[in-house]
Amino acid sequence: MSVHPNKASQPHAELAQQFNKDEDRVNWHDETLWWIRQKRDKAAWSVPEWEWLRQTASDIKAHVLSNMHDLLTQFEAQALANGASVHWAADAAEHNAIVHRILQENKVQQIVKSKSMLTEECGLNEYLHEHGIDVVDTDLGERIVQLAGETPSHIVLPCIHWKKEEIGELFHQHLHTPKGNADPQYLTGAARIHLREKFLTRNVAITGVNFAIAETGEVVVCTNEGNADMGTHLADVHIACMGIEKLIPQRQHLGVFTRLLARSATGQPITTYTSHFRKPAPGRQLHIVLVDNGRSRQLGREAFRNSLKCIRCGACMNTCPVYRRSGGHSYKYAISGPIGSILAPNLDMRKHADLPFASTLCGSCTNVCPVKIDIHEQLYQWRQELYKEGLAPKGKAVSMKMAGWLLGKPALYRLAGKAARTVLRLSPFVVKNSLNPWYKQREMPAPPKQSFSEWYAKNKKA
Amino acid sequence: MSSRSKILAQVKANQPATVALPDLELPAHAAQWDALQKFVETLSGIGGRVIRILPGEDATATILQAFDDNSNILNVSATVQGFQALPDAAFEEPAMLQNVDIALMDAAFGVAENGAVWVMEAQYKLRALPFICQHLAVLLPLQSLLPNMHAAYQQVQAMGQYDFGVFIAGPSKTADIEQSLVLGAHGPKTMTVFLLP
Amino acid sequence: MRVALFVPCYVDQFYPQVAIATMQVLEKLGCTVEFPPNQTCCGQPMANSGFEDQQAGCNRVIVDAFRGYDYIVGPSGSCVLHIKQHLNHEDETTAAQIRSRVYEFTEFLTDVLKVKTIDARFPHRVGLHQSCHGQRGLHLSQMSELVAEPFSKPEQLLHMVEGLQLARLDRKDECCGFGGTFCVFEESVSAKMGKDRVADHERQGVEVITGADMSCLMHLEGILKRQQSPIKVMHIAEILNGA
Repeated sequence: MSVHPNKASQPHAELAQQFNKDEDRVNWHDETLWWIRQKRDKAAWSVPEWEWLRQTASDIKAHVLSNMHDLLTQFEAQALANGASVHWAADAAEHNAIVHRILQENKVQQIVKSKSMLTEECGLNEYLHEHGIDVVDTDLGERIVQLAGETPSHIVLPCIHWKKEEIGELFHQHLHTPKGNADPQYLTGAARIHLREKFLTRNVAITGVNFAIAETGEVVVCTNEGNADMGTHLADVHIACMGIEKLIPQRQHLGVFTRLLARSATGQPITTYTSHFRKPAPGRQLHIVLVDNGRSRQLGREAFRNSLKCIRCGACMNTCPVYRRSGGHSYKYAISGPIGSILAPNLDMRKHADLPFASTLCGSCTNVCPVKIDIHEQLYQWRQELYKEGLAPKGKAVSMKMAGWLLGKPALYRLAGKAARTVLRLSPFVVKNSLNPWYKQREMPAPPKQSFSEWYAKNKKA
Repeated sequence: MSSRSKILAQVKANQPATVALPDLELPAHAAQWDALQKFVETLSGIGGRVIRILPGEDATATILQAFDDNSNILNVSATVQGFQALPDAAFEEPAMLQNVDIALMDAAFGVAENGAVWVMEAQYKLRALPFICQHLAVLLPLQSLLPNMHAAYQQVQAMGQYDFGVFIAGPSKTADIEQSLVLGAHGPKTMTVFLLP
Repeated sequence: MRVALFVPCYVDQFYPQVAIATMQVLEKLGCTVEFPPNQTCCGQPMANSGFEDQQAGCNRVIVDAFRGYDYIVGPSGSCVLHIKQHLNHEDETTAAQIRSRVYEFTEFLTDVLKVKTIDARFPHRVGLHQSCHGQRGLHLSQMSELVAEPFSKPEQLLHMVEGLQLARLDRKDECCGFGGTFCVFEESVSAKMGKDRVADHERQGVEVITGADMSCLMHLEGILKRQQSPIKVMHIAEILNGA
């Protein structure tokens, strides 16, 4: 729990190893997320045309990626005509500066913010804090991690790694709830009172965007708690921050995406609120910040382009056997899990070189993805890319070159195999020690006296 | 070069050859439901409450009966008369609605597959109302029920433009603490849909 | 029907009995089985680590060994999938031929030989481990994530074995955590995944864990042995070969 995801520098494997020191907690984390995966399965099976929906959503997004330039300009024109202001940010720094400037223009120092993975990606909270702005995250899970000085460990379930007793203690310290009260109903009630006061008094509300419609210039925000609506409708200024890939061409396409999003995320038939912001309310402001931050670059990488189809449902995290057993913070990036592992290297290949290896390539992520991103295949492709860029782990490079060389020489390979088996049989201590990661929790396979090739040569060759 | 031109130029340079939009026609094996049954079942399943108003029944009386404490009902519906009206001052200062106990409004239509109703600001007048009230009550004509979200967005299109519109499916909720479902996160703690004949 | 036996490197070195069983089952079913001697590895360990170009030697060896056979059959879904997806060679005609003729053992039995009965007896409670590359890559069985008709080629075969009782797992197709080099580079998660898989089989009271991929079974065996568990692992070919 002490890991600050943005500050950790150890590789995923090491952070995962730390996470695994408390096995009961790993079991609890794994089972909680698996339960959500099961709810997702049940929701998907309630829609016989599920696979058609996934394909259609994927195809709509493929169109968006191929037509992004025109859709962006169409969206901008419509949004302006609706009375919104549109801002363009090339990177995270510019995004943060734009938001800050809007706050300065409105002379506001205290704001509320509903969940936005984009602002997490851009480090907005930290930036605004440094500039003396008080940001209150209003999604309950995000508020919990914010009070604890952390960042979310999951894009949909920000505090999935926290136990209710720990939240009870945190609320006792910060919201003065009675010590020892860990009842979710009670704690949620306390947060409701605490955050209602913020909603009622703060004049600027930031939200993320789930979908932006080019045809109409509107943005759509989905929440269960109603925090995006409570924030924006009670404020004078709404700042909606979105990655440029959030576009969809027409309103009717929402029919496809709203059927997939919540079912994939939590197994709900739809989020409680699906709010369509077209025009600012009379006398109020709506700012839309369009952020690139590496997206246009990813658009040009053919093997990785499809990652921009992501609608941030988190299904790939819930199903990922590695994520469930290593925790979101081990990925050290705002978007963790399988999808994060293909998005992060685009932003900084060196920093995130470990992530594409944090997978068994089992492929479950690809199958649950509502927009059919070939996630595990992109993980494989990133590995090739990292090697080409000279960013593959060092030890690996040498051993893989030697293995490649040896395996290209059958006679030598047979000799080496025989030697290795002999060593295993006669001097098992050579591999049975703590320096061999296999042996730490697993026995070595018992080496047979003869290989199949040897057996075949003796018994079958006529 | 402005960021706008820079982004647009790079997008244009990097986007692949145009891919056509897919056909949105539902396949033959798509789900078919009894809309009323599915709507009631789904909305109840996500914490909402459905009350049917039968032909000839006094809607006002049914609404009053539905709530233990019915002294503070703010009504912006055009379907039923009476109750309290929206104060003009709320347009300037929506936060003053924080003490509204029950807000009563018309919904344009409901969606069977997920229990959602579509409400538009133009119908209920003040954007914050369905979120800030403690309890939300919605009047919905039975014949307005649509099977799924595809039909829902066709209907949205047919109804003309809105400034703000929202699908609401049940009371506000959260499961952020150990996945325990709690109704009444920041918005209404309950949602009641009155189905009109 | 001339069938070449593809024996992945680790099966050759550590599990010769699996290759023998594979060969014997195929022979019982009427195939003429040959083992081209000069084979090593499909190249997957290098490629999955990002070193696709280091598998050129393996590709050369594979093309030389398997040229001209009607079918190539191997007892490991993962290695077979790798050849199907990634075998590259300047002699593209032969490489393409090999890619299309290489089969995993169970799919060869159900899809090519169209086996309806098997003369085998195995009076034990058995758990089937669905290996990911076989399942999600080769489509040996339906994947639990998809809204699609269930089927399973390995189960279909196991149901033909007299006396065999197949257990139902809590998580029927969760990855075991082997993952090639993942098993050493992400040791803690890999081992935990393996322990959790083993625990599922234990809860169902199985005596034997079987599967169509020996690499996953090697990993699970390592964990079972460390826990001094009485549960054994056996490749599905060994069960189908048992009369």
